[in-house]
Amino acid sequence: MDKFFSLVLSGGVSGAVYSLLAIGLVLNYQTARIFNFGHGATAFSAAFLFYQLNTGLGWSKWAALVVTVFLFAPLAGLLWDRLVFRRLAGAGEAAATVASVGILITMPALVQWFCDVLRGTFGVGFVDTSTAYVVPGIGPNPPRNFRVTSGLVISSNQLIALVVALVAFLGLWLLLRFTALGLRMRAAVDKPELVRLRGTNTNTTSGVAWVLSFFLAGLAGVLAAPLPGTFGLTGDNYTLALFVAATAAVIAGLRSFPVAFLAGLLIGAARNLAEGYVSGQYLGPVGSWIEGVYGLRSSLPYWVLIVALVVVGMERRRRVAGTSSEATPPPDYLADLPRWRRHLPWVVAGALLLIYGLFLADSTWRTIVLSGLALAIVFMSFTVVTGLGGMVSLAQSTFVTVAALSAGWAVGHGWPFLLALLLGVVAATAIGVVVALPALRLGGVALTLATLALALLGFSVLFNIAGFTNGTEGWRLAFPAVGSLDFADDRVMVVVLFVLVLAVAGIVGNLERSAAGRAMAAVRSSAPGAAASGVPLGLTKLTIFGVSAALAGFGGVLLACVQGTARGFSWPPIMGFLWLATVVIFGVRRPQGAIVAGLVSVALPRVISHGLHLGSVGWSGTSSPVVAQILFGLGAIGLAQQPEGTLASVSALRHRRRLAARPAGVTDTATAVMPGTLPLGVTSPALAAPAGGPASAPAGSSASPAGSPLLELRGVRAGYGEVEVLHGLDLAVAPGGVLTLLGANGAGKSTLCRTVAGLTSCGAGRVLFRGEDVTAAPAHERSRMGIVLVPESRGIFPSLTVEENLQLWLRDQALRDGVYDRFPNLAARRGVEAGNLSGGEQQMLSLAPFIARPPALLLADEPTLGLSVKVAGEVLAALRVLRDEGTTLILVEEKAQEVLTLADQVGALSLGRLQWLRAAADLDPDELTSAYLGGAATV
Amino acid sequence: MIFLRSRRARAGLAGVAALVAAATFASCSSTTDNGTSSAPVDLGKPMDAAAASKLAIEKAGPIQFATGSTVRGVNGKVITIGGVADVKDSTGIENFPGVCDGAKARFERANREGGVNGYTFSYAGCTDSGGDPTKSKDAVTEMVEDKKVFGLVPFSASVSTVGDYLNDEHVPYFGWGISTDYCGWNNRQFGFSITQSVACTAVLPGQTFYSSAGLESYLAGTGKKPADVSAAFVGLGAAASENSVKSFAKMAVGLGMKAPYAKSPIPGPGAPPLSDYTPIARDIIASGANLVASTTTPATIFPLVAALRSSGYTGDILIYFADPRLAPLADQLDKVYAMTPNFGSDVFPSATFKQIDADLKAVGSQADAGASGTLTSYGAADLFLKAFAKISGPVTTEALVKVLNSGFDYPALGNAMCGSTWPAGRVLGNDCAALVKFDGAKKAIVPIKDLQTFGHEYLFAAA
Repeated sequence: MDKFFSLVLSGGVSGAVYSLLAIGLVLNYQTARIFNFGHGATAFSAAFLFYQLNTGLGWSKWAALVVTVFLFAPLAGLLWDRLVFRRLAGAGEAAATVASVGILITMPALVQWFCDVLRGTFGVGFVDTSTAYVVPGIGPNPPRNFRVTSGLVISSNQLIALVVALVAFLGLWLLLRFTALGLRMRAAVDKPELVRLRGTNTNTTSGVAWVLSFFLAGLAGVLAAPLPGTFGLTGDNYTLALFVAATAAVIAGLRSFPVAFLAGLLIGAARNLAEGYVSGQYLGPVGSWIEGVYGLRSSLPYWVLIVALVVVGMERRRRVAGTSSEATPPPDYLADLPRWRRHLPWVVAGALLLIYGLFLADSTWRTIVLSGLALAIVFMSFTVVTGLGGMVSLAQSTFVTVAALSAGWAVGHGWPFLLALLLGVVAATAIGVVVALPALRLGGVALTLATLALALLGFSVLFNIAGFTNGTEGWRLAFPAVGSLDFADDRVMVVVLFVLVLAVAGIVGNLERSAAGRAMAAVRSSAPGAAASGVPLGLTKLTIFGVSAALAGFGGVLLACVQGTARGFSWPPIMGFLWLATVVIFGVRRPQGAIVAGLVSVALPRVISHGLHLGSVGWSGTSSPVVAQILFGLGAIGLAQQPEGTLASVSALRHRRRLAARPAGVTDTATAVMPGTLPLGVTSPALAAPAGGPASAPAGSSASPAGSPLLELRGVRAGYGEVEVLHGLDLAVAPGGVLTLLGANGAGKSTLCRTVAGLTSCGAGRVLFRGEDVTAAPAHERSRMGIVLVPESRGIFPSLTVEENLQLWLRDQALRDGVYDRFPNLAARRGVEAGNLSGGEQQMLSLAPFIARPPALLLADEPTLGLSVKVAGEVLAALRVLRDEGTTLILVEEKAQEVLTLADQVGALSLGRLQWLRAAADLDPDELTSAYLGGAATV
Repeated sequence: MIFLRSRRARAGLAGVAALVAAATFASCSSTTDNGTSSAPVDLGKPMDAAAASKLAIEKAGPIQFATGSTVRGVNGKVITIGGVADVKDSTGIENFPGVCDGAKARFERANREGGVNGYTFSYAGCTDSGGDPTKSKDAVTEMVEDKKVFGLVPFSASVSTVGDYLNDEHVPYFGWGISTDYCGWNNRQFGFSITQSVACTAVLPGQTFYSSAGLESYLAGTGKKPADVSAAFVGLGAAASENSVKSFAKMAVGLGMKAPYAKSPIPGPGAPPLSDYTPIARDIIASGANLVASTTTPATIFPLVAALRSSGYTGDILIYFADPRLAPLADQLDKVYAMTPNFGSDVFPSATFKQIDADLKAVGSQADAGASGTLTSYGAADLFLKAFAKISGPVTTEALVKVLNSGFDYPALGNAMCGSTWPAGRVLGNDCAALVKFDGAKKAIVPIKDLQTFGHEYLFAAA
């Protein structure tokens, strides 16, 4: 028993750094919806910098601490937010993962490069860290040991880590759960647009989130560095520790700070118990067997991670009203080009590559071309699983290794080459299916982490089996000679690989159009919809993973043949990260991106180290390995600008050039039929003028109130990208009163609401509020001025409770109590997550706060959509109350009789223009019908 | 790719120490491309170097000398030499300072002394292989095809696959045997590792040579009797380490010691490092050991030692590397014995080390004469030159290697470098080492036993 307790306590204390890292991971996810794979690397960078300042330059440890943790780390966080993460909000999981991989790769490289440069150029006294096994931290050095009981000794460094982890978790928990800032940060991550409509500047919350996160990482690094063996100054240790911390974070569901803290300690204890008790002595033959399999016992955290992912399940299914499309397909910039023009650049490039590889390259560069082509096939597996399947897989390096080792084993045992190749592919596919099995139930981040856990397990257990990997020597692999064709000849292989790459690219391209591809696209845009349509979700995912693994395996065997050997550690999991990132940077949706990525990732390091000489101009390269890593970071920044990758940027550029070259006035096909622009201030008579009906009156003239209008739109043009939706809209709304705008789908109702609220910017024209020009004001500012939009998909935050939803608008408890009095339904569900309310309750929740603190102007986009008659009536009653309190209302509806009962003025929107506007009393039933039917027909 | 960050590929003091340690005790055995002798062999019995050498050659068969007349790199009376070695690892850390300088220093001294047999040596530079197999392949190809070197001195790339290429092209290569490209027999007859065989596996089917130099140097240095020693052997969770640990235990028992603990609980490459070493320390102490011999990486030695000491362990600890740069950390390794396999330590000052130092300064190098990189590189060049001196007839690469492969004894270089016998050295390890100790109070490494032969070779069945 003494042994048990001392192991648990000692292990628990040692798990404090895992807790600290786990807390950081939870923070990142709660405030940015990103699983930050680079968190450990940031910690390492801080540790490295601290060591250089403290030991290298001799600064006092407190000075070094302040500079590292309070200056360097938060500044780095701010920069990353500004340059990368702010622009990536909503860009999709692959881009977000790659951005955090960017942190993983760039941060250590930057810090080391920085110190190198200072040391080399300015002679600043930084030191070589290769023997920095024992790093002094902020505790006493050498560390003091406290004997708690016999057999339990805690070092001062461990104690400090524990105390700080405790303080950190408490502080963050209080911040996020109980402060207004924390609430806004959580809301910002739940629905970024809505929180801007409620007065929060998402740039600020995003910045605070990342500054906090990097601060925590910096702190973790400085505390972890003095723990030798576990951390020290070995960068890899920090990332491996991060994966262990990921287990704790997943157990906490990526939500709960207290659980993350405890789980980190528990994992430390569990590892100790495994070390102490899993052996032949305690568990008999089973224990002996486990002890005998290398890496099995020490990879316990990875096992726990997989179990936790399946059991805890982070992506809670939540009802969100309105339509929600998970993944919009990327815009096809080249759709307007004839086929031959689309493919011409690639044909030319391919021909050039072939000529270069066959005739112009020396043997080194020919090998580079071969490696690049083999890698291109591996990368196309990413195109399948991530580009097509929308699943971020970090296990591709495992598939490659399994295939290469299997093929190597086969060749080593005398099998013919083709059979060995087949074995490799089959083995990889089998592993792919194994990886896919937990993935069937998971999605998003959980799926990615599951693939990572399996990759780590493969690396530490499977690829340590001596018989499989042939020890440390590995297997020799080479292309065979078949008949008169000597495939070992590089030139022959260039042609063969080139053809293979084309074939695979063709297959992958066709996959999108195949049944499986369409099934996958269906699943991506709406899983429930796909299930309802009879698309077999599980089978589709399995197929995608299987195909991806087979491709990766195929490419892997080829790659091993080019490199000459297959070793168990040739392609570690970290390389899988790098591969993913490289492909995404170039473009993961199309095979071309994978091919370019493959060639560049082999050619670039060579160019960097040896330089490039074109004739007499040249650069002789640099021996610093960090340059490539820093370039990679720049790639991540570029990705933030264009989440679809570099190739898409190029296509978009060409597209814009083509557009600019076209004659003006033909920009929007939607309005090709309409006549030209209209003078300001006059509504379009157009086709909506009903014959024999009352003459259309200019906007604002009928039922015109006295005094200046509250809201004015003058010649507003707005849209999305190249598609203009509002074509010169003019509107003036007087204060007090209710304006109802009718219009069919596509008329521009939502665009109008968004433009007024500030979510969509005007291409031309002006928006005036209370006489002040607010055209350039962002949404959160307009909200504070008094323009409130209740959007179409219910203006609530699904993952916040009812109380928290109210808190965002009503800081005052008394006001919230007033709301509860008025709406007993909501009072009864105070602590329920808003996403679990019924549609009607959600709509009441979205309107209730404004009754307590009325804004000057409220726009409601389809307030009664999807509601029963009774509930719609309640909503209207609420709107009436708002009107009575003096709020000006603009209600935008497609079809609802009831809203008309509330209206003072009614207008019709059609094809992006305001067709007519008149007092409710003056409404003509024919006009009304034409508005419902689409505004164009004269009745 | 330069981003190869696997811990096994990072041949820092880390990986090398593990390899060297495992290897000191696991000599390479020959390839059996001409059949093994089926003479019965006493497994587990100690042999001295001569007997082991004889046995190794018996098993492997005589070398089939390469034919040809390769005069690449011979320009009149000037021989061009180049080097490829891990200067920095894949994260930019310089692990073997001096690894390129040592060879250059030795060649320049030879030139200053008038050359060898009228030939002088032009050093064409030393490329960094950076712990990356692609880089090492590129560097080697460049040296051979572009710079047209006669031989590679040093060739110390920890991860490389150029063995076939170098032997096919008849390029002699000398260096530190941390690369598996030195493992082999006929198919690697152009490779000469100054530290003889290091971690070659699967060459003698079912059997491996081990050396007891570590344990016997400890006995000699402390004056203890084997019967009084109860040894615990700690290794990494990887196949090579596990085999070594089990074999050390057998050797210990064969020497008369007790071996109550022989396990590999430290996580190997790829597995997350332990956060707490207490369980291991507890197990070791519970076994009653009074000597802990660890072949694990330097990074894990520190927490292991700390855990042992704070759990109340009062016995001795023995490790298998002693880099001069660890001296400032001697307080964390107080009273720990360290054995330096294959080469000596400059805590034993001598004329040899002074000479090496002078030679280094003469080429403008700041490297430490006692660093492992410097010593192996310098020693490799020294071996090259001594063999070169014995070439009779036209100077070709085949002639050079034939000098070594037909039976050559390279004497120890003072107390800096162990000697080696060829061709058996391609199969056997060294029984030669020095023993030093970390002194925490002085923050220094103190000498115990200078470089000499300890121990014997043992042939064990591979586990």
